[in-house]
Amino acid sequence: MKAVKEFVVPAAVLTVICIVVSAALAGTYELTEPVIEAAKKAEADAARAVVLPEGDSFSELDISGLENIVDAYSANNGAGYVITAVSKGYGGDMQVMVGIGSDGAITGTQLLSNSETQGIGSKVGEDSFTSTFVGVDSAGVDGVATISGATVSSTAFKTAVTSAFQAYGELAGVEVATPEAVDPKTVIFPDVAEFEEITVDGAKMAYKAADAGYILVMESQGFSGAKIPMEVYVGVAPDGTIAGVAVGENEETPGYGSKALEQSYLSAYIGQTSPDNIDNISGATETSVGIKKAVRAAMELVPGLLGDASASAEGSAETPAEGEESVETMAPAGEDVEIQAAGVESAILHSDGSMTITAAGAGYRAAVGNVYVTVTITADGVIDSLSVDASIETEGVGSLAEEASYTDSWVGLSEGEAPAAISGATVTSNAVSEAVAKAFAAFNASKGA
Amino acid sequence: MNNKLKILTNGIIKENPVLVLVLGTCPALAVTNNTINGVGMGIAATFVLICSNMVISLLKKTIPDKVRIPCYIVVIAGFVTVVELLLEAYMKSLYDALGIFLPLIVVNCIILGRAEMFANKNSVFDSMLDGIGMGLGFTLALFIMGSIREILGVGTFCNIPIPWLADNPISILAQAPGGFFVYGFIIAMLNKVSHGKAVKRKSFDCESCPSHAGCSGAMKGGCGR
Repeated sequence: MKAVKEFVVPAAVLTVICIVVSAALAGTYELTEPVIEAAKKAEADAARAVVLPEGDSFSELDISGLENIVDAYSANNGAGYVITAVSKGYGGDMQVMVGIGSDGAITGTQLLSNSETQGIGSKVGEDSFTSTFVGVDSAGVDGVATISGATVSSTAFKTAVTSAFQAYGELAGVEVATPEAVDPKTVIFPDVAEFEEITVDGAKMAYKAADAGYILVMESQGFSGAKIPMEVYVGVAPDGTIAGVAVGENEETPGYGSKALEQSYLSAYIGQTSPDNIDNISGATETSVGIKKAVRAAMELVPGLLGDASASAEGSAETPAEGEESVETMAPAGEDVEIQAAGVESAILHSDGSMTITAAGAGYRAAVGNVYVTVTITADGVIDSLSVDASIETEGVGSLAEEASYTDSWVGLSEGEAPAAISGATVTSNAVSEAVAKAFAAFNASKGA
Repeated sequence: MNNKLKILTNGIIKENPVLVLVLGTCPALAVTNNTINGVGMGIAATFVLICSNMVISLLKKTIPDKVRIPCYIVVIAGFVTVVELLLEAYMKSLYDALGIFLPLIVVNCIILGRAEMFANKNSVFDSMLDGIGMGLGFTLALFIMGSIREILGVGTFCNIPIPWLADNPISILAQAPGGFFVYGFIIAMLNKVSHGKAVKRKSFDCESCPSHAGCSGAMKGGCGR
């Protein structure tokens, strides 16, 4: 009995009180729930009306199958749509609510939940930025100026707006401009409407632009932090010069590497035959160099390309490497005769019987381009001078093969001999040996002829 | 009858929960940057206080001593949630302004304190009068604090701008430190006006403590002994 009084009664009383209180709460909830729901909806409608002032009440739309969309509502009076899209900002996911009027232009934007840096990236939530989107249609989003110092956040905001437009296109069943509208091919050859896809070994893709020339698509690593290589479109005019360079897919840093992707820089390539005279952009060195490598690799393919196209076998007269290397190579004075030699890029017979031969070897990055060796062999078969163009190779590793400490070690050797390979750049060293072997083969062939 | 009136007025000045008992200071400091918020908080707490005082007084014989605190909390929490739902439904702006301090009424020391100190020893009617008195005292204190902080800190009164003051607000008064300034100032004023009767200056021993009557520690000879 004592136990009952001590333990059971308190528990029972507490339980009863809890049940009674719960019942009272349930009653109150039943009473207030519809009012609260209505108030919440009114509040949400008011929030949506901020970006779509003409909308009064909204109904939710099905967003299954739409990417990067949080929710989408259409105004019941037909004023337009309110779409909330998500994109990756500087600090994490960023939600942007976009109001799109019935005419397809933005009526307002608002930054919702975000983790942008307070005072920097958070500026994209301010009226001064969000209001610049008002009146912009799907094609104009790209043209909205980003906030200086908050480029990543601004770009993410624009990406979200673009996603909202994509969703708007789906939901409203209208055509919207896609951000991929800028085709690198038309940047190079604006007058050409149709590009015929052709196959060129060594290029990722290639197109024939009617009579205007060709486009070779090369891949090249730009900024070392980028996860994907750049897609560099190299336009080649029928005369073998560069008709234009444009960069397609890339992950270069906006505001830094991206400077090297702009036509104001890339147009310097027009009319050139190699990237040698192009300056790097300060602050975008890696990207600039990446483009150069792609252009160099593309130009290597040009002789074959134009040779095939014009049904002429003499495509190998000019190679990208020849122009620069022959300057450095000390050729003996006298009358030089360019001769035909199989297996090498070029061969020049000097009056004293020596030959300067440029040959290619497959290095570490053979998939992208070759290592070029220009070697001068004296009449009695000894290497007089040698230079290497390993610009395609890894900076600081394979490129060591270009240095005099290595190239000088070849001087004085004859066929079949080779100096020690560069430690850490064995593959590139082997490429040089391969090219030298080819040069000797061509040398012997011409002597025998 | 005089006794009943005394119970009612007790809480307003003599045992004002905020200014004399120094209970419920957290909401008193947090929501008094605006007069309306302060009064709203006061009324919400008063409602809960009256209801819980009555119910607890009614159940004082039923509730076993061992589980009295959980029982009080359940009752108080129930009323707070009712108030919360009603405010959300019918006074959304006040609901938003009070924010987290609304559910925190559950653990407001005044309510639990009055339940423990008064309601479980007195009749239902007396408990109701005590609830009204204490609630009015709490509301009054919040109103005074809210008025001072809003008028001087923001330059408005009940959100109506006051000329000149609105252009020259003493912003710190509307912020947390200002809450402490004003709070200390009001306690000092009250002490001055009541000639030290409200808050005894000299004797800080157990007997002079305003909570002496209901303090379980006092029966054992004082707190901490």
